[in-house]
Amino acid sequence: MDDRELAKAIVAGDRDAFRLLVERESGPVIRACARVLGDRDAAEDVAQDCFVTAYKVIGSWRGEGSLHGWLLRIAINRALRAVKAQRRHFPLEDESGEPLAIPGGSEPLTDVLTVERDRLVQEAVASLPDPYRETIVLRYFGELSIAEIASVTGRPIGTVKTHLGRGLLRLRPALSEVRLT
Amino acid sequence: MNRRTGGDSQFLTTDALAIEAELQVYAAQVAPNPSAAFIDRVMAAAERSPQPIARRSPRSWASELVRAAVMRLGVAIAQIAGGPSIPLRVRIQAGAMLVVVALLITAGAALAAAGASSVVTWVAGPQAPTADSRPSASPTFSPNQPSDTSQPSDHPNGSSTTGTGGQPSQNPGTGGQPSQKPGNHGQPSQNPGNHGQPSQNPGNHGQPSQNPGNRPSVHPNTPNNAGNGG
Repeated sequence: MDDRELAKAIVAGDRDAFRLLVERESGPVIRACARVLGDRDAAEDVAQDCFVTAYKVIGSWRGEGSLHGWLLRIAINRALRAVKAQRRHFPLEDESGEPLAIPGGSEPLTDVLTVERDRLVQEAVASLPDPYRETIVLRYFGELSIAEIASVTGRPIGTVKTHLGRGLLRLRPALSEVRLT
Repeated sequence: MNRRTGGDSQFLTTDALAIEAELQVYAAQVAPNPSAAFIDRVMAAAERSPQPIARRSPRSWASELVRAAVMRLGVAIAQIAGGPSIPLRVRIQAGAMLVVVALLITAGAALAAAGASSVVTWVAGPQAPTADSRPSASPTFSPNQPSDTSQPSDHPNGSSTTGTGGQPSQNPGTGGQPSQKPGNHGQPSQNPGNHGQPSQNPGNHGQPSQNPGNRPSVHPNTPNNAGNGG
């Protein structure tokens, strides 16, 4: 079933078609949200909100581009909004006062650096101005190709490339604090 | 390395490629899968949501409207041109509809033409003045009109005296009187001709000069004004 047929079936009230869409797209959507938000539970909340919104408005999808890109754009914009709304703090202890366990645990310093690197990447990307932020997130967190980004955003491919190059260069000062590779 | 972003980054600079690599490493490490209950949660939330509504774009609305109108006109024409089996009443109704449609099309075309005409007029701007309405390029001199130099001068001395032989002019000017005095002998009116010559416009303080400019000035500033050729 291609995207148009799937959308038509969902508009017609076919719940199985919607389930098929959720099963197919939940992985990429949650991954993209998690990369923006840095938290899996928050990513699932945003992804659920994204799917429900998409269910309501799928009748307005014009069939240009893919449903995958359309959903990712909704999800990423909601995740970026959630990043702005949430107060970002990184407690070192839990509510009982015990030190928070760091995932992995075998290499504490490496793990701390990894957490710090993730935070830097998330904050750097979230602080980019639009349209660089959206382009960067769709590309690297949503794993869309340049043609898909152009289709989803309605911008020419050359413009997407320009936004991508400039957005990456704008990230350089922030990401130079922790070398990731 | 991400599945889709690996192949089409040739346009990026070296610096941008380095940042891209860092982002790809980050994305590869942050890749959670949905929890087992996620799909059921979404389906339950969707159950509580209203049914999606198909929204048509304005273009599809317009195309359907045009198609329906064309079909109805075709039916009307067929009713008029049909055989004797079509009752007269139906023919009259169809004919009336065609007349109304024709009137609407004519009115629409007339409005469009008028609108286009006004747009063209507006774009072209105001009409260029004709040669008759254009003011004359050569000013006419009226003897009753004061000359240009009758206006107060911005110069502190009321005169833009030049050629005073190296001395700054202290000529208070002509006191608001016309400067084109007799005796200028074709010399510029703002040049009293001070190069050792008597002033041709020696500060006559509101009196029209009766002197053709051959008498020395009697103005208090005369020593600095007229005939101060050094």
